[in-house]
Amino acid sequence: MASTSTVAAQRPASAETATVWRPARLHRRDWLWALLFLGPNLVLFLAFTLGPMLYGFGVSFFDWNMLQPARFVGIGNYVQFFIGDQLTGKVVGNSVYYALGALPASVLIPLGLAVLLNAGVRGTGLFRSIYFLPLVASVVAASTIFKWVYAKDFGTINQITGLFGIPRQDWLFDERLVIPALIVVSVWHRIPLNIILYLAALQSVPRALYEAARIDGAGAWAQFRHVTWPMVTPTTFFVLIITVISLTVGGFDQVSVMTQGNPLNASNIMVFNIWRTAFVYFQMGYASAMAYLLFLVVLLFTAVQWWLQRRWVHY
Amino acid sequence: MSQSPSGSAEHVLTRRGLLRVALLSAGATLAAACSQPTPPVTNAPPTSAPAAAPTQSGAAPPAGAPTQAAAAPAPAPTQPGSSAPAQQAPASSTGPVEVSFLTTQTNDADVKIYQQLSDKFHQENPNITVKISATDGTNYDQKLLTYIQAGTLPDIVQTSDNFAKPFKDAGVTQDMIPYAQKTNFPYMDFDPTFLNLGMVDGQLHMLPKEGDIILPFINLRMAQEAGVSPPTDFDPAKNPDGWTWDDFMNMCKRLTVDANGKHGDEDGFDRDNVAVYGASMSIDAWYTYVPAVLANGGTFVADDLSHSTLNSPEGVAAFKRLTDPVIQGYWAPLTLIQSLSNQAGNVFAAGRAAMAPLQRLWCTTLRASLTDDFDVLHYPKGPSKRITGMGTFGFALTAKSKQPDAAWQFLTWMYGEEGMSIITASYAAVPAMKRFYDSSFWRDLPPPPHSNAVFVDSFVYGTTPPRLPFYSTGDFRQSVTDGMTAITLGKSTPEEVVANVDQVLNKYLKDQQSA
Repeated sequence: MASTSTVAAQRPASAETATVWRPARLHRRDWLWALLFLGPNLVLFLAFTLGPMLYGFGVSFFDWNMLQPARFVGIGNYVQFFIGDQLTGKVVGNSVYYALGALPASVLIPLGLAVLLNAGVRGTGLFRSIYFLPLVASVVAASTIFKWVYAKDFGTINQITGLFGIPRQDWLFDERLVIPALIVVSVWHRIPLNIILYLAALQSVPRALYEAARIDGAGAWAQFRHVTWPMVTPTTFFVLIITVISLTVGGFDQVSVMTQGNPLNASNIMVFNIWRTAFVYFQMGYASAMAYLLFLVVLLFTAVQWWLQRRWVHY
Repeated sequence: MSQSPSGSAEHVLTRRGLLRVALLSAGATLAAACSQPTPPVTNAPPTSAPAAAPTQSGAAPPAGAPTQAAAAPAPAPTQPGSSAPAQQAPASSTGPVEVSFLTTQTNDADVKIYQQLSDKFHQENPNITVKISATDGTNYDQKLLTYIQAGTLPDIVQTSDNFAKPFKDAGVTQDMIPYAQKTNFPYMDFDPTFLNLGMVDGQLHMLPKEGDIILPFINLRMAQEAGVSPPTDFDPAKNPDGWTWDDFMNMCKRLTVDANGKHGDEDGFDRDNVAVYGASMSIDAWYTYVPAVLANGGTFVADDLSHSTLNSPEGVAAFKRLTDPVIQGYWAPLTLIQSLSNQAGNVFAAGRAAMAPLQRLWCTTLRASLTDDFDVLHYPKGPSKRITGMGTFGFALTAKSKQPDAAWQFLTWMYGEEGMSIITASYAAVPAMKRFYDSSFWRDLPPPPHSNAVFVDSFVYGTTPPRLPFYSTGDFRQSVTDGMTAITLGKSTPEEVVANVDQVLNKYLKDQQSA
């Protein structure tokens, strides 16, 4: 209901824009101005992003340890990943577990908290500041603290659970517990940004929609379901995209500080494995190949989400 | 966007045109990227023919002049055996000169020492300023390779036994023998064991900063409370078969105390709730497991490095000897060590272990953080012999040094008595030069530790790391770490782990031979 009216209300503006827009032609003077403003960024992008990316793609076809001349191996590194590396299954499994485990909580908890914060309860300003704190803490510092929080011998969690007679757990050195322990930290660190995004979205929902819903007899849940949720689907889509990307290509600093992939590779996720292969094992070609495979996976996920968004995102 | 008044068509760029240019550029870059990557560094130009390995009586000089001869200091020999090249003026420097010095010792205390060295040297040599910089040791080799690419490689860099050869091969460091000979620097006074760690193909690529040997440190308060008398006055020269591994383990058990106050050698000891561990050991570090194999009478690798010899009853027994005490709760578990920055010494420094095999470098930390008195012991004798790990790190002149003469001058001063006095004053080092073994400037520092003689008396039974291609054996090292972890978690047996480590090591040795 409300979503339909909102979509209808927004459509004319975008449709108007679409009809006015024409392929732009740049005059020489405009072109110079464009270059002046975009040039520095383009140069930096080419030098430090696109260039190394393409260089890394080239390296992925070589066996290279940085010290000796590179040896062309064709797609050998890619083949090795699929059929020659005993760790592949475990690392991919860990990565999927980590990403899928953290994704729902990273989206739903911020949405719930944002709704509560947006409700105007007393002390909202204080709560906003508290929830914002994890964002300003560096991942390395936070991971170091959490390493101690999780420590079997002296960690806070075991001290608290010990008060209730629960045996101490080796959170970061137990193959069953280490990924869930990492997921908790990951979610904790992602919550603030997603709260901010959701808060911004919630505050742009016209009050009139809620008033109309209340007049129609909608309760709190019905308002959320038929007003709030449809109105924040564009933000949810954005949050999903950035969270999936950050969970897939992120997590390195967390694993590096907290577990180093231990125990027995139980927390060895793809991005950490790439780093270790490159800078501990000095297999630059194989690491580059894995990085490109990871890139393709992220690209695929993002493309699928873009395709699916037509079915559930309301603009 | 409106068209320009001139309206000239040749100046108009369409989006399609722009896209075409962008695609062409990207294609060209892609083609360039797919060409064979060039190694970031080239090998150093061939230098002189390899000289003989140094001996006590003196090394044979290089057969030919080194390629860096042009940069070598002008001959201004001092008296043989003297280490006072500070009296020389650098040949190539008439005005103020800045020497860059890079260390991986980043903590404040260490940086302060290097700064003191720099300041004192500058007082005596006003024309030379040594700029100290410290960088974290993580990916250190990669950082240096990057510096080479950028042309910003410092004049002096920290290096280690593992890096001596790769740095030489990569053109990071240069042979320092020609410099030593021209300035009569007594480099043969270094203990040959340590000196050899910096010798690569007859060239000197590291001046050992200190003599590091792994010895058990013990918390004297805990020992007293447990009724243990640590053999602080034990002398292996007088009693070669005394102070054995069994003695050490008995002491570990006695020193281990659980949450209920029960010692490790008492009935009812709860190994799952240990308050203080008998020892904290880095069981997956080479300096622990390699000596353990040798102490059992086994060998680690064939003399010609052709194959691994680890998979033997002695090797298996060594791995079992190192993991059993962890499983039994007498040694700190790997998870606790991991919680404390993966440093076994931190468990000892935190008062959670009564003993820990460490090098003297730890004295600085222990004196600052451990409130209890502590001392150091000789390493216990294994079933076959007494042996422990030893090694060092040091400094080298870089091949791209812009001020090699001044840099060398600083190095010779640093390795002289004045420099060594400053370095050892922090308790962090034992001099690696024999003439300083008995020097009061480090021997007579106030305790703890009390038994400073142990640090040099133990050199006779130390072993350096096997000359494995450690630089490219990350997964070999990982297999040891994973193997030790698997044993302690009950996921694997010592037999399986040793067999796997042996297999991985053989793969590398084979690759090295075929290369």
